[in-house]
Amino acid sequence: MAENTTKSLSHPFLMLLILIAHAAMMLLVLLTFGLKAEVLRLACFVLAFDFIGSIVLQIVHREACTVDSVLLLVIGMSTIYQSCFGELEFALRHYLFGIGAFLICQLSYLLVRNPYRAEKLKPLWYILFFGLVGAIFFLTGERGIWIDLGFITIQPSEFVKPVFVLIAASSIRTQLHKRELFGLHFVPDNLMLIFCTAVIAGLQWWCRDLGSLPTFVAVAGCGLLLRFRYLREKMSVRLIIFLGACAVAAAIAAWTLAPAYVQERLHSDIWSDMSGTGYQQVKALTAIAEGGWFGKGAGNGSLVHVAASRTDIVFATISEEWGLFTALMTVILVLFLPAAILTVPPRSYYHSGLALGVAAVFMVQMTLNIFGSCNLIPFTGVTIPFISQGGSSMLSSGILAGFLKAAQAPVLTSPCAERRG
Amino acid sequence: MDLTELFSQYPYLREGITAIVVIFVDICALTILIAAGRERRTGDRRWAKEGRGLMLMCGNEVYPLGAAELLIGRHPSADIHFYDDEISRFHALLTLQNGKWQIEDAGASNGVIVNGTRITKPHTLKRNDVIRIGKRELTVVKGSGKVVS
Repeated sequence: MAENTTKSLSHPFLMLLILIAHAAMMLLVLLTFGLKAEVLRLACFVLAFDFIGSIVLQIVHREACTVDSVLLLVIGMSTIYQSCFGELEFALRHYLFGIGAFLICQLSYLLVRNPYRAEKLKPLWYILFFGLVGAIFFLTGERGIWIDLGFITIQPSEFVKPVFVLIAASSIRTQLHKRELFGLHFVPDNLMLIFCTAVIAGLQWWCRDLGSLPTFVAVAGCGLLLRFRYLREKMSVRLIIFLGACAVAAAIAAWTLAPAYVQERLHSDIWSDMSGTGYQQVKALTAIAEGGWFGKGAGNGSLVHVAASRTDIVFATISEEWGLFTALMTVILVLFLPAAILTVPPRSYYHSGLALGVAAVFMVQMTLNIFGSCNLIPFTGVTIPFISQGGSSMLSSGILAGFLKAAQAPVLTSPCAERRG
Repeated sequence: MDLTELFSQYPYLREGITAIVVIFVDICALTILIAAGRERRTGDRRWAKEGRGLMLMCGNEVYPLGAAELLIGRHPSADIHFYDDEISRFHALLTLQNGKWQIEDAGASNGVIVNGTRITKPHTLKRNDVIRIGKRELTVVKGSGKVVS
C-alpha cells in the first residue's frame, strides 16, 4: 500500500518529544504534590499511553502523524489537568475515554479515508442521524439531552455532530446530480442538508439545549458555502455583502426570537446577581484573574468546588491552577488539529467538506466555552474538545479528529479495489 | 530542604519552572507543525504517484491535476476555467479513482470530445489523449508531478 512506502522519518522523534513534554508536566506535578503513589500512578498511566499509542501508530499506520501527535499530546495534558484539579486524584474515567477517543479516531479514519466510499455510505449516515434524533426525542425523557443507562449516561446529541459533518460534506459529482420538480432544478443532497438542519434546530429547541445550535448551524453553513461557491473561487464583493447581511439578519432574528430563558441570560448582569445566575461566571472570572499568567499551582485552585468546573468552565479552572499562559497554549494546541489540514490540503471535495465541518465544530465549541467563561456571551454548556470532562464529548471529538486524518491521508481506490488490495 | 517545600515557599521558583515547562510544550507543538510541513512534501510525492503525474496542456499552458475531482468549465469556481462561449458553465468532470483519471460530460451542451469521439459515459484518460472542449484542445501529458503553472 502507498502509505507503507512513504513513512515519515520524524514520527519516532515526535513521539519522543511528546513523551518528554508530558514528563516535564509530570515533573511540575511532582514538585507540587511531592513523591506520592498517586503522582507515580498518574505519570505511569500518561507516559504508558504515549508509549503504547506511538507503538500502535508505528505498527498500524503512521501517515498524517500531525493529527495523531497533537491528539496524543492533548489527551495526555488533559488527563494531567483533570487529575490535579483541586486535589490530586487520578482521573481514570477521563483517561479511559481519552484512550477511547484515540482508538475511535483511528477507526473513523479507516471508515472515511476513501471519500468515494464515505459518500456512498450517505444513506447510512442519514439512518444514523435520524436514529440519534429519535433516541434524543424518545429516550431522554422530560425534554432532556441525556440517556441514563444506570452505569453510564450518554449524550446522543454529541454523536449527532460527527454524523452531521458527514452529511454536510459533498462532492462535485453529487452537486452535478440535479433533479427537476415543478420546473425547479434542485440537488437532492442540498435539500436533505437543509432538512436535517431544520430537524436538528427543532430538536435543540425542544430539548431546551440551544447552546449546541451554533455548532450545527456553523457546520451546515460551511457545507452550503462549499457547495455553492467552492473555495478556489475569489468571492465577489456582492456575495460577501450578501452573506454578511444574511449572518447579521440571522443573528438579529436569533436575538429577538430566542426563548425567555435565553433572553434572561442574554440581558442579565452577572455582577448584580453574583450569588444567583451570575455565580459561575463571577467565580470563573475571579479565578482567571487570581491565577494570573502562571497560576496558583496544580491542585491549589478553588474553582473546582463550583459546578461544571471540569466541563463548562474548564478554561477558567486551568487558568486558575496552571495559569492563563498554559490555558491559552492548550487552546492553541487543540486548534492545531483543524489547522493541520492547512499544511496538507485535502485532495477531494468530500474530504474538504469534512475538514471544514470539523474545523467549524472545534472553533465554535471552543469560542462558546471560552467566551462563556469570560462573560462575553451567556453560558452555553458546550465543552472544549478533548479537554473538558465527558465521555460522549471525548468520543465524538475523537471521531471528528479521524475525519481530519482522513482528509490528510486519503485513499482514492474504489471500495472493491481496496478490499482486493 | 525538601524540593516540594521549596516550591511552595518560593512562588517565583514555581512560576519560573511552570514557564519553562510551558515553553517546552510550546516547542513540542511547533516541532509538530514543522513536521506537518514535511508531511506536505510526503503528501505531494504520494499524490504524484497516485495521480500518475498526469497534467493537461492547452497551447503553452499547463494545468496540473491537483485533486481527485476537477471541474472544467466557464464558471469561475471551476478548477480549470476558460472564458469561452462554447464551453458550458460546468462542462466536464475529471476524477481520479484506482490510479486512473476519467473524464465525463457534466451536462455540457456542446459535449466532450476525446480523440475525435464524443463521449457518452466516463472515459479513462491515457497519455497523449486529446480532449476537445468548446474551441479548446487539451492534451494529456505526463509531468514530474510538480506544479508548473
